[in-house]
Amino acid sequence: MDSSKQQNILVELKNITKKFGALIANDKVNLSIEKGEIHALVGENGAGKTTLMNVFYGLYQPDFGKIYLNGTEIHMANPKTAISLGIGMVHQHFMLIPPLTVAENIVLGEEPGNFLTYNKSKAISEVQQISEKHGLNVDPAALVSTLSVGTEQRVEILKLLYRRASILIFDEPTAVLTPQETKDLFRIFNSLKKEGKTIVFISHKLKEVMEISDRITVMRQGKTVGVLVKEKTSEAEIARLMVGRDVLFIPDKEVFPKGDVVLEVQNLQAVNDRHLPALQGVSFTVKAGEILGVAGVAGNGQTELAEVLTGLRSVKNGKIFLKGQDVTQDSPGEKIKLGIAHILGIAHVPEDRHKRGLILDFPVAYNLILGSQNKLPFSKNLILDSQAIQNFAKEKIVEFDIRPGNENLPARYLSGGNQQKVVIAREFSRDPSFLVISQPTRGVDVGGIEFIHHQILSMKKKGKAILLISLELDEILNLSDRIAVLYNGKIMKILERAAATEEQLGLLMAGISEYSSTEKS
Amino acid sequence: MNTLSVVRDFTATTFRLSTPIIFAALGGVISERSGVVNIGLEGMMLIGAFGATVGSYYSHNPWIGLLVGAAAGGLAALIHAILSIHFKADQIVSGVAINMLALGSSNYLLLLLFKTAGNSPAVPTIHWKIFAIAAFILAFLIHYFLYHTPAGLRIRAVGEHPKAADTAGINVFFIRYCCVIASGILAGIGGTYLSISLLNRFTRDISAGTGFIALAAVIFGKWTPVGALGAGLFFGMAYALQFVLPGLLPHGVKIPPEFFNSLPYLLTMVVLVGVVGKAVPPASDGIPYDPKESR
Amino acid sequence: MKKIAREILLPISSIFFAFLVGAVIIKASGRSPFLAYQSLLMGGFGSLGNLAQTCLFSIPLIFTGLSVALAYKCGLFNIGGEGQFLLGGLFSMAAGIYIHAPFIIHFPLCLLCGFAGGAVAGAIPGWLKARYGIHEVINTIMLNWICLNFVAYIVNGPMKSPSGLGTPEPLKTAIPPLIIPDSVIPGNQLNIGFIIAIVFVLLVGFYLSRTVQGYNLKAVGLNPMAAEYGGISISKNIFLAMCLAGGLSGLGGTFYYLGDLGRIPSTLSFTGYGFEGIAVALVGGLNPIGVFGASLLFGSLESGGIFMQLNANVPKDLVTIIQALVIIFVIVPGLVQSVFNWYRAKKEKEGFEYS
Ligand SMILES: Nc1ncnc2c1ncn2[C@@H]1O[C@H](COP(=O)(O)OP(=O)(O)O)[C@@H](O)[C@H]1O
Ligand SMILES: [Mg+2]
Repeated sequence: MDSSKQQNILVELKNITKKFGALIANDKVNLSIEKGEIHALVGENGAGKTTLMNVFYGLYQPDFGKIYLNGTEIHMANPKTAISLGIGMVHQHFMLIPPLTVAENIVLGEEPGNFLTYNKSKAISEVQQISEKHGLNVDPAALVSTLSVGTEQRVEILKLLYRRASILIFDEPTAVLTPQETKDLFRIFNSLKKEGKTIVFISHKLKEVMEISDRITVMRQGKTVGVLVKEKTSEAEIARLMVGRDVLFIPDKEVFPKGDVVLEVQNLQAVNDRHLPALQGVSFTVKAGEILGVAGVAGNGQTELAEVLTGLRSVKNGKIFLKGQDVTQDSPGEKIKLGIAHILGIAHVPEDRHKRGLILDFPVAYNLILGSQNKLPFSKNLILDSQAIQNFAKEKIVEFDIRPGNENLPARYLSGGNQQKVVIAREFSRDPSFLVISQPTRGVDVGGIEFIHHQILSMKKKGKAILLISLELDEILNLSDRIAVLYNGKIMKILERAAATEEQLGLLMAGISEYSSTEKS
Repeated sequence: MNTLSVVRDFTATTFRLSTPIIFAALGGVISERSGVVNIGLEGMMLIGAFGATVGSYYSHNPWIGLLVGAAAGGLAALIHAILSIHFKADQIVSGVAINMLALGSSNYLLLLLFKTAGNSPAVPTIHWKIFAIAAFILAFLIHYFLYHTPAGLRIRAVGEHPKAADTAGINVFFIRYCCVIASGILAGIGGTYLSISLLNRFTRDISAGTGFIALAAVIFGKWTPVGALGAGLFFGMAYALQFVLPGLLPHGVKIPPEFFNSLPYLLTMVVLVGVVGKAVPPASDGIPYDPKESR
Repeated sequence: MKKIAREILLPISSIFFAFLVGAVIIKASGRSPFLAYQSLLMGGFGSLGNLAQTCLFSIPLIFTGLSVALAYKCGLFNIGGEGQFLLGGLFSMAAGIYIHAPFIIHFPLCLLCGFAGGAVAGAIPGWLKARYGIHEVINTIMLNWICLNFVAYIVNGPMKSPSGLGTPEPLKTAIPPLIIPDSVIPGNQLNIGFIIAIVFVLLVGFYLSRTVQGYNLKAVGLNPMAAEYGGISISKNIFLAMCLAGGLSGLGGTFYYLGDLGRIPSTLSFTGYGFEGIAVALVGGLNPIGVFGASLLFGSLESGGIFMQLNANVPKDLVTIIQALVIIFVIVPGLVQSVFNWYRAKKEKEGFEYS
């Protein structure tokens, strides 16, 4: 293990090529990782980072290319091989089984005990031991379904430690964390590094990359475009490599005279799908020509807020006023009135375009009329007007630069960014007075992000009232006029953009209000 | 009328009629726990019943019949496994195809081997109590297996979140294959019981919906072996009522036999309304596993 | 055009492979596959009379096939065709026996009753799914058996005819008239149901592809959450789809019992049309025109099957086996597709067409 001839190189991926149908996710990618380093793998959404690591972990078979460990070629047949070689991976979407306990999740596949009995108490004590040793503070007997996102991540880390992994891969681990939780994670990284473990850290947040990594490999469009040493590079250089051009879009900070209050929400309460309180008394207003940003860590009521405002979820308590008119959907027990958002002129860009925003097997043209299919000009007397639908689609495809420009192609075959453009095109074309925009750029490439941000700002210029819900703090900071921080179903505080700092938002997102920053739950 | 003998008759009939449901339902539990829906239980029972008859007929040994019946069920399940696991076909459609295949081939072979479209000749049998007791023991054994062995933990993990199991180094396909084949063997034994224990011959379409009742028992029993045992007994009781109840009714009151024949099905529908929301299937039940798909 | 070629290629090759496996089975049984298939073909298409018989047998299949396809478009799996078929048959038979009216009123009324009967059997699982979220598969299966027992009870009880054969025969004004006079093809029984079935093929096709309601139904089937977001009610569409699907199967039963059989027999069992409807829908690529083609094929197997048993001594149950095999080959394109993979690869680049 210790004396590798090639100056400390532990892992080498050579010419890895992986195709999904016609799409080349990895195109002759090279990656070499030294023993004991923290190696950052950076690149935009869709650059191929996850694919590369899935190949390394044996989850995907490459079409081409070789994997070397300590100089010997390895055939990574499946994750079992990877695990046996001391490789562990924390996936972007956690790989946890909610109805099982923490201990069961961790020991799964290498259960203590024998063939006939799985030793539950031994599993719990072993997990407890490792957890304490690394200061991870996890209850092994708890059901995973009851854990917070941060704890889930620690369970994932424990999975690797239980298997004595020496190469640890983390796929965008900070995406779901508050800035403070990120600091905790980096503390764990450093202590793992001290134990001699090797870490691959995937991210597209350059600040974090510069903070924690030793070396950096940059990927762009499925290719390796650079290997950098932290000391000899800068955020700007990485960004340039990542994007392939110089400047990133900086939105104009024009402030427009704000208009009247368009939306007012008073003491809003609602429950989530599990019938637990999700919104616990939320109040705010949004004025015409204003963007109110809602910041927060995932799962603090964002989904429910958007759904309640658009009539997809019923209100338990509280009131919603649109231009002074009470539009609250609160009839308990009774089914909520569907499509109310569209009737009232509220546009809704849903947080998950695959779940709600698109019917992937419908052609683009059909997706562009979803919600208006029963209205003129798309249908008359309940008969669809194909010509009108096609014409409308052709128009929007040009206006929103949707590619490929084939209105009959099922939405499934569009890239994430273009799928999102279809949703945005549809919603922005309703001529709404109020827009609820959730996660507008999740999984969208940089070009697409730029375009979508421009569209949002142009809606603001047109005097629309906009509620922007995003997990990306940068997005909130770049676009909002005011920022509300949502924590545990409550609004911690609403700040003027100019007065908000990232540090302060981070604390608020963690549920710590600035006045009593020491002890508060 | 002697109350005691009525109760005894009723109990015995309940057990006799529950046994095939329990066997097939236990099979269904194992299969669905691993994430594969098995609508084909009905066909696997049917082909098991036929296999058992053939085995018993030619060997003159009902135990050989049992072996052949179990193997026949397992073979039908293997087809279901290949279609739904390897080729990722729609599991419900695949199950329907298995049922048609079993119906067609058992009738085809009936005509070919026994030159009849109705009943096979009589064959040596096994006493029904052996099956009834075995069904009980098996339910608890499978319970232990699912909740107290490493293999059981892995099966449950695969049924809930196959990708998570895969990343933990577990062979999802292997586990699913094993579970589906096991379910076919159990359904085959249930069918064996029908032909060479409850009766002494194969008759055309002998399973007559028992496999579908077993499917309902899986859900009613909340995808647990002991639950399936209870549900199987419940349905058996519903069937048994038709033999006991008419004798207990006041003179002149008659309930048509068709009502009793429908009773288990009616109860299933009523019961499902009752348990719904409380009974949660394994999260990935019915969804083919493709490692290339996110989630 | 190319799209159509591709859509037809899969079913055709599936059918081909199913017959190939069938031939192996026949051979293994010590019979002659050649003779068997020859008599199957002759029985199905060999004469005008046989052809008429094939068309007659395809009527119920067209309806149950449309039923399965329509439900499927709404994301529902209708295994309840058997029960809906029976209940539709019962309702229309009751209308045919007990209502007195001139043909022009009586016959359509029978169809309406048949549709309603099937719709009731579809509505129950539809409602249970829409209201409680209970999977329709289990409830449609349960209802098959409940309907069977219920219809058997009525046929052997309240509606029993003195002859003891089952129900009485319907009035003349309720019987679907023959299309082709007996003098042209002697002994043929092909009735107007075939034409009405074709009308329904077109109607269902139009409904699914050209109406707002069809759009909504497909949206719910493809992504209920997104449909809801678009203001489309999930539960309303599920209920409606199951009612329509049930009604279609019910019409199948109507023509079968009023036309083919002329009564509902006392020894009642599943006809198999409900289950075959699944095969028909899948082979037909879940589109109405495809369903029509597949129904003709399966109808010919049925009329040819009896021939095959007589001529080639191959049990006609082979037909059921072949139908099951066709399903298997259709749902596992991988089995077939490897054969023309190169063809697909070429297609992929040329983009997609959608209808
Ligand atoms: N399982 C898959 N099937 C098809 N395409 C995929 C799959 N996984 C990833 N892709 C595509 O491959 C490209 C790279 O994806 P990914 O590796 O997830 O990028 P990253 O992790 O850098 O964001 C993207 O265009 C993505 O859409
Ligand atoms: Mg990724």
